[in-house]
Amino acid sequence: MSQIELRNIGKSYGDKEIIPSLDLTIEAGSFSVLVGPSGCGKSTTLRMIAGLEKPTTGTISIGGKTVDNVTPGQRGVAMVFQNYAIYPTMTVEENIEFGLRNNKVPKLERRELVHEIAETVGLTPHLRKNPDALSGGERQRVALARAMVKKPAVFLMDEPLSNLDAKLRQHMRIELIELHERLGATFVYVTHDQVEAMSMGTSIVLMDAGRIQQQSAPTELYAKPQNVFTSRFIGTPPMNVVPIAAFGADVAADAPEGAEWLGVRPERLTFADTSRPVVPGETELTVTIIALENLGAELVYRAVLPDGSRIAIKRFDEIARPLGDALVRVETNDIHWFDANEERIAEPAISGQVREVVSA
Amino acid sequence: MKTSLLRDRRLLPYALIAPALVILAVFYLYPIGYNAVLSVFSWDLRGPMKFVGFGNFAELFTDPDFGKVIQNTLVYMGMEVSLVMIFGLILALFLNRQGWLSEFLQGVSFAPNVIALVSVSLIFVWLMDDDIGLFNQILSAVGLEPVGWLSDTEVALFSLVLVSVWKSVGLNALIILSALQSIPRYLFEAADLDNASAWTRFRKITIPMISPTLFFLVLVNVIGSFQAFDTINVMTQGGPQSSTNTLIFAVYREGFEYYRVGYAAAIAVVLMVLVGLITVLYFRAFQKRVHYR
Ligand SMILES: Nc1ncnc2c1ncn2[C@@H]1O[C@H](COP(=O)(O)OP(=O)(O)O)[C@@H](O)[C@H]1O
Ligand SMILES: [Mg+2]
Repeated sequence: MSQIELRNIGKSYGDKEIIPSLDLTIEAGSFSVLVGPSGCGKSTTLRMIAGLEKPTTGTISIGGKTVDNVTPGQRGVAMVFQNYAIYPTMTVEENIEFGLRNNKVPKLERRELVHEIAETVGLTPHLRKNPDALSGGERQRVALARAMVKKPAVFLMDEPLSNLDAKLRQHMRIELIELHERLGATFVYVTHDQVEAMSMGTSIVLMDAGRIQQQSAPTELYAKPQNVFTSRFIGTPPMNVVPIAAFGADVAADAPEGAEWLGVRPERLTFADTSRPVVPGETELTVTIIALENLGAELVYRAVLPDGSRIAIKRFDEIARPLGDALVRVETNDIHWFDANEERIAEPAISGQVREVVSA
Repeated sequence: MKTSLLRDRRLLPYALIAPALVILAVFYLYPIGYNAVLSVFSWDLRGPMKFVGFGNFAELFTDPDFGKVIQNTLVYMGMEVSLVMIFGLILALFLNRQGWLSEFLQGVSFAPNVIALVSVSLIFVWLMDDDIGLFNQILSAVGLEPVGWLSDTEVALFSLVLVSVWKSVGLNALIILSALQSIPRYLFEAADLDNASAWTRFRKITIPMISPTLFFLVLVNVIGSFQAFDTINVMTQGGPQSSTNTLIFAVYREGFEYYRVGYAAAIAVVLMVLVGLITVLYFRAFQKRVHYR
């Protein structure tokens, strides 16, 4: 098991700065997911860990050893590329064997290891085939087997599932989680898909524009987004973030010092059950529903607040509500506060007032 | 009828390729056939044609010099093709690096290709002159013995190879270069992660990935080497002492200098059979080892 440390890592291509300065610790044995919008520098970061890209500044260590001058093949890492990067001129067996051969593993041992891995990932019947005779899922397995056979301390994966169809992707997610548990190696996994990140990672590193926005466990990332970017990146539909005044004067008055924005997850908004009075710690407001998406299990309403801000409301009701005005309740506990820099403000004390917002 | 021919789904394709087929027949198949016919006659271009059966071939294969001609042809082929391929590959690998020098050399490499081979040959006759040639002047300047580039029977064939290689290595290098540049970078990255040495990368990725191009170039160069004529005609006339006399030059000399058309045709038949044989053997031997995408 190997802990990976990036200290003050910067990366520029020419005078284009991709990563200003990155400090990141990836715990030994973790399933760490680098997630963020396309072009934010995830692959670049991963490739710097692999040694395929040289950082402009800073230093990287793996398992306590500085690897800045260590070639990719000597870093004890294996990588699964997005397009698998299978050697087209070698058979499946030769593909898997290549790394072992280069590491001067004796022939008999090599054979044994290759067959063992092939058995594990279900490639045994394909060992003598050329890669172009394989399906997408089988190629993915070859890429995985090629990484696994070297028994590396660190697995690097760059969007390894993005070329698979939805069903296979779902299946492979579970297999990778199991693989991680079985091997106990450190996994660094790059994806732009927040669902993939949330469902697979034990630790999530959310990046934007070459900067780490937040690093935490999935539950924490969802429950306590450190800033507006994070709050909007995780969750479908994303968190409603509006000016604090949008929820009415009372909510605004209750906002902690310095708060400019408030956020509420769409699934935390409920339609008012008028038979039950508004209780302390709860706020009621009138919204205008303007659109509805029916996703089968869930309904997503698009609504407008009195000040014109748009929000989403996610419910699991059986019957869809009609468009038009509706009363919505939210618990103050479920409100996240952000300052003018869009940074999270520490949990405020909750006042037990009953508030009512009347729409204009 | 025109319309019905064009309507008939089965005939239409043949109708469409007919013009190409006609050209092929008139300019390729007919001459080949006619040459085969000529090879069993004795003819001096003017007088009557006299049927001699396999007489020309009998004469050919009993001619003690003919073995030497075939040997020259094969040696020339072997040297020319291997030098062009080896230096073409080395040059291509160099051009494949980044930098102003390789970019500049990419342009330079192509230059010999736009000069007519006859002009190139004339320039080399001058460079390779025993006494006033630049090559020997350089050799004597550094204290080495002069070489009889075109006058030594042991050297002349090699000198011809040299000229041909000089002329065609650049183009071959550029074609190999484009193959090199089409190898996806991630394959080398994967190999780096698999701890492959530079030599292993070259042997296991570069060469297999460009094998279709290499296969094709070797074939083109082999066939081209059998057709080498301008250099021989301008520089050595097959000499000294027939040491640079090849099949194609023998065809020309017998046919158009000695007017022994039937005999020349017989040599041409041998040449054709030889090229065909080598091509077939080459395909047999290497095609399976070529990786097509
Ligand atoms: N070799 C390169 N030269 C110049 N720019 C690059 C290079 N590789 C990546 N970039 C740029 O760096 C940024 C981050 O790329 P990347 O790390 O691949 O993003 P992603 O998060 O989508 O994986 C992008 O804007 C990309 O255009
Ligand atoms: Mg990427």
